Amino acid sequence: MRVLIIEDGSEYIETMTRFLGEGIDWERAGSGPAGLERLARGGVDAVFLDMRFDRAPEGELLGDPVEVADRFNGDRVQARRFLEDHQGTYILAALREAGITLPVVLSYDFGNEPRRWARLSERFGPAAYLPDNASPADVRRALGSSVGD
Amino acid sequence: MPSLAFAAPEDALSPAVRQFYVAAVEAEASGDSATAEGGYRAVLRADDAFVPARLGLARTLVDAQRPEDALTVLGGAPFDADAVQARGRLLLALERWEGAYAAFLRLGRLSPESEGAYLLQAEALSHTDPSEAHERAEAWLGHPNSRLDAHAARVLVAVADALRAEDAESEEPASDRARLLLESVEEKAGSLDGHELLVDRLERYRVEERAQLLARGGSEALAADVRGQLDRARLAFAAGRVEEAHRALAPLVRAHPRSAELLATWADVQREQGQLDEAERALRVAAALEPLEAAHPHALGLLLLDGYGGKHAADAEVELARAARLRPGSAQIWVALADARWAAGRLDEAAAAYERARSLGQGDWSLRAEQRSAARPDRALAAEAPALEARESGLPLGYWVARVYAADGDIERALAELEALEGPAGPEIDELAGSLALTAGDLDRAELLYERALLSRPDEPRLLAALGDVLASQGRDAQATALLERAAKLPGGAAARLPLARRAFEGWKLWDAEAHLDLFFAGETGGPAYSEALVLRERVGDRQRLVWTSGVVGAGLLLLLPLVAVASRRRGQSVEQLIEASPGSFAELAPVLSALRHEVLKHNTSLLEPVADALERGDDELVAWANERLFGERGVVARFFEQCERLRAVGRRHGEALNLSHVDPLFGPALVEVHRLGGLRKDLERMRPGAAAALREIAQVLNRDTYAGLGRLLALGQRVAIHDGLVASAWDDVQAEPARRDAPPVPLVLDIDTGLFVRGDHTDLHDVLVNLFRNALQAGATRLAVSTEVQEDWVTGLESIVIRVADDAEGRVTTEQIRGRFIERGLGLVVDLVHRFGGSVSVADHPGYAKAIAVRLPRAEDIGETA
Repeated sequence: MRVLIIEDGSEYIETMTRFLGEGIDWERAGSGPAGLERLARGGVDAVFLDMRFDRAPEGELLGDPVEVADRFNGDRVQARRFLEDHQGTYILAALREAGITLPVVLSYDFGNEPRRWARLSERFGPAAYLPDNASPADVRRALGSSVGD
Repeated sequence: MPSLAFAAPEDALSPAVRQFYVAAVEAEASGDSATAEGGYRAVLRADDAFVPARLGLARTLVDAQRPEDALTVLGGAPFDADAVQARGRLLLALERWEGAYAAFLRLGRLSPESEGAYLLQAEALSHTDPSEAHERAEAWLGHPNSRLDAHAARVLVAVADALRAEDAESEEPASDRARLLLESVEEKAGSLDGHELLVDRLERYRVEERAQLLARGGSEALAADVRGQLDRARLAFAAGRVEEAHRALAPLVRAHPRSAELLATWADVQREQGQLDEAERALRVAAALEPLEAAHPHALGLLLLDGYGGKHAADAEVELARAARLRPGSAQIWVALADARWAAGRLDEAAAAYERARSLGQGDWSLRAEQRSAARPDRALAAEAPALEARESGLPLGYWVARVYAADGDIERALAELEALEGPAGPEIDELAGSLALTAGDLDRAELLYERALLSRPDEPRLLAALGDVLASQGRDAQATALLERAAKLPGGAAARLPLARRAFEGWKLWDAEAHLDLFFAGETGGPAYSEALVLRERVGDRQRLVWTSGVVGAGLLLLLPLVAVASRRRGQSVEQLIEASPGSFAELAPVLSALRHEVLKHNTSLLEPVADALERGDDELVAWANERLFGERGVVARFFEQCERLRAVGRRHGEALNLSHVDPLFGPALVEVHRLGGLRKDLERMRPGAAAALREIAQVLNRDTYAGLGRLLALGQRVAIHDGLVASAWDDVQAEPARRDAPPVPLVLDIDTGLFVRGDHTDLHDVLVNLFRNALQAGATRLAVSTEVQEDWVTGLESIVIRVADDAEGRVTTEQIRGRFIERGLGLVVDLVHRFGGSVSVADHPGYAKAIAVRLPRAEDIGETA
């Protein structure tokens, strides 16, 4: 199984390759656009997607900062933070809009937001989520189940 | 002597004269001055205008130590640029500056298109009139043909040195024109000849400038009684009694305006009271008093950044960049600097600073981003640090230069600077030299120097503690302890409590260690030892619990334990109790709880179980990697303790003592497990598979119970229910205001959905509604309506609740005015409060009314709800 990790840092790729190297080939993309470009080439079975992208350069954040700033009284700083904090969902939406139907596992705890997760998974599925404290074994299980293993 | 070489157009001479000239040149080259002189003179007799011979004759005369004759010879060609230049250079070599300058002025007139004359004029003037030399140097720099070479670099450095000397003697405020001159050259010089000289000199200037600031602005040391008052004020502030701290500090600040320590505490209090301008002023003075202390520009930068909601990010960046230069190893400062750059929209540079923080091994940079305040009060003035009158320290500049080098970690240069000092060494110099010797590992010399300093100042706690450190390093424990205890009892000696606490801890004198640490924290508010003290306190608590629960001590001893000590273990509150008692604390607790959950536990404790597996199968590479991640300087153990201390600090600010270890049902077990985890370090280093079971047990608590509990705590304080009662309460408050007593009744129509929660604070939401109602009524509204609507963001799935307060008053406020803050105060407060919760305020149409103010707030899900 080949899994593309989309994260702005390198924590996940480092951890996964160390702890889950067997049976899974890991690749990393550092931003939404980079992830879309990689997925367009094919050969990936699933996507492991981080939620917060606060280290990504501004130009690589998906979402319209002007439109988002409208929700914060025009405050671009808050808009940028919003885009960073929820970038995972923007990437997920972009994948689906691009016709990419691969299973996606989001690294974010929706445990306290069940209604939100229900909306997102229905809208952008197939998708699952794992909270931040998920162990590598949890990740393996979630990915395996997402691709039907 | 300067070079007078010149390529001669010999063909201009007749054949016979040319023979004389060639012979003279050869004689000069072979060192036969007499023959050379004769030959050149013969040529000149035949052709007086043949300048190469004149130059050659002058060279020969200079070599023969007859410079006056050479000057006469060169003066015979006053309209030839080469001869004039040679004469000027010779005059320079003879230190006849005015004559040289006159010659170079003439050169400038003879060769108006040449840039060289400016540089030579500057060289001559640097000895007589530095300001004029500066102008000439600038003229040379501005010339399109100017090129830096070794000579030009030497001249420019000479001019800059002369400017600094002139500035030093001037009674005017010191200028930085010398440094600016060299900096402007440095930018252009690149790697050209002479660049190294410029760089070296610039570095020296910068060091000297910092040293001069240090010498000029030294902070006032407080007397024992004043320090005692300051300490009491600090304790009051830490306990949340801000007014009391203010009353205690105000007279102290007036009486001791040069104490940086006082001013820094005063700034904390002022900031807490919302007096941002005064806080800023105090920090600027503190920074001027202690220009080498990074804490002041750091605090000032944070104030400018957070206190004004990013409006003064550029100013904040200047201060934070200064702090980062002073303490480049502090990830906390780099994070703040990154935030400032980020807020200023300079994202690439922000990313670089974040990366720098990351490279220092600290992972809580994203927490700082979460803490960016949304409050945006106006800043009344761009406060400048007031000019401080110079205070005569009696110490030579070299002492201060050495301190600058020492602060930069350049011990070798600092020692060299001290060794170069003339005259007898005073206690300050001995103390500095002692600390440098200690750093360099020369314990005997450090001991000697500290003892000599103590002869002059036997009651200086810093010196006593330093000597105690030296003796402890030599294994002379009893003497070291005696010195530390003596230091700790003196005013200002709280820092000595830490090594005493460490010793008590090592000797299992846990109550002594605890007492020492309490006194340490009462007297110290930061500094490099602070983090160590935090960790030590946790370790002391850990051992105390062990003593209490394991039965290592006998029942008799238990009975002897003072009951008050037992009771104190149970005193204090949990985090949840703090939130209940002081809901306003949640805004400060949330980022810390979030950091614990996302930065400390995430990517770390989730690995404990696989690390246990690796330990059992002997995967030493993976275990070593995990070891660093768990136990490194910024590993999970250290960061957990650090965040716990931040929680306690929040409690103190709200007048409550958090007892995380003994009362808090979430943190008590978590701390036990973090301590256990810390105790496994050696087991992991030695690859002991027996530790695997413990790792799995710890993972159960930290990665599951603690993680989930933190989530519950975070959810606890974030939700406020929107309901009729909330709106009615705000409406009633406005109706009860004196201005409304005689006013005709105004109907309020409510259309509020049930089961709605927003993220925010109940009191703040109440204030939002009160202000909106009051505004509408003051504008002449005769009827109002409040309605709610839920909106959803398609991409993120997040919901917002829009609360519309509609009225029929004619008003001209627009959304654009709200964004531009061209609004009256009440609405401004609404915008600030809503902004803090990540919401927005806008103007909307509302059927049947003139307008509605629409407040959009993020919706919080009821955890009990189902999808």
